[in-house]
Amino acid sequence: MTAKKQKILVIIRQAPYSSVLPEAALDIVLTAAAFEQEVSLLFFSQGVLHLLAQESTDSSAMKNISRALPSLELYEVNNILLDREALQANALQEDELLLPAKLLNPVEISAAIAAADQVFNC
Amino acid sequence: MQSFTLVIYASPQSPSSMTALNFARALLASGHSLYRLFFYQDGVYNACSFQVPPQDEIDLPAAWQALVQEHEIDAVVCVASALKRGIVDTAEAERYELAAANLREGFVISGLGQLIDATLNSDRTLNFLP
Repeated sequence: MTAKKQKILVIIRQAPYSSVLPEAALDIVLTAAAFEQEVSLLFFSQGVLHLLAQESTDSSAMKNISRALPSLELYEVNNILLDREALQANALQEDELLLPAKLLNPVEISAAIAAADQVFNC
Repeated sequence: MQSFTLVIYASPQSPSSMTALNFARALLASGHSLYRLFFYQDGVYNACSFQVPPQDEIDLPAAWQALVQEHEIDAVVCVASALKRGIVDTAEAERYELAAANLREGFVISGLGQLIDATLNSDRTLNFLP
């Protein structure tokens, strides 16, 4: 294994309960963090809905992966990024979010993608 | 000359898997190297030996296997994705007392750590989503 830390950006772009990809992406985040890489997680497009705090799947058999998000800081994944336009498009307010995130405009999102050594676009 | 890792999330029924296979063939033909193939999520079905495609359709798992064996490629199947989809090698079949094993020869079952290892050790990692 190489010694150099890589900047790994994982993008969650699908809505909750719509696809297996958000969970697949989160597993990549946790594994990359276990490998002590510099991991960022971007919630993009409908993916921002994962950050809605008042989610409960108690009445269904669906898995709520958002429950795992507050524990990301234990894995030293602190760079949580959010698509500002998608937040507005989905009528979400910052104070409704599960955890603090940096709101990025499209230009800043491009810059975050360009700055990463590796992007997992899920 | 660059080294590549391809991550296949798509099942053999998705055109994305065919694209990934063609990409793998093209990069090898151009003199680049494949550090690893990583089959994740529905991509694990590409390593299954129990699929019987119609005669007028390509047998994608067989085509992957031929490429893997010809070039001795490290082809890793994600264990969590595989078990929940019923793709098992003989060791897992015995462990869970299943009727048969169906992982194609040439593929190995391992963990997601192999994906991160591949990312760190290849020049480029490409994702093929459904």
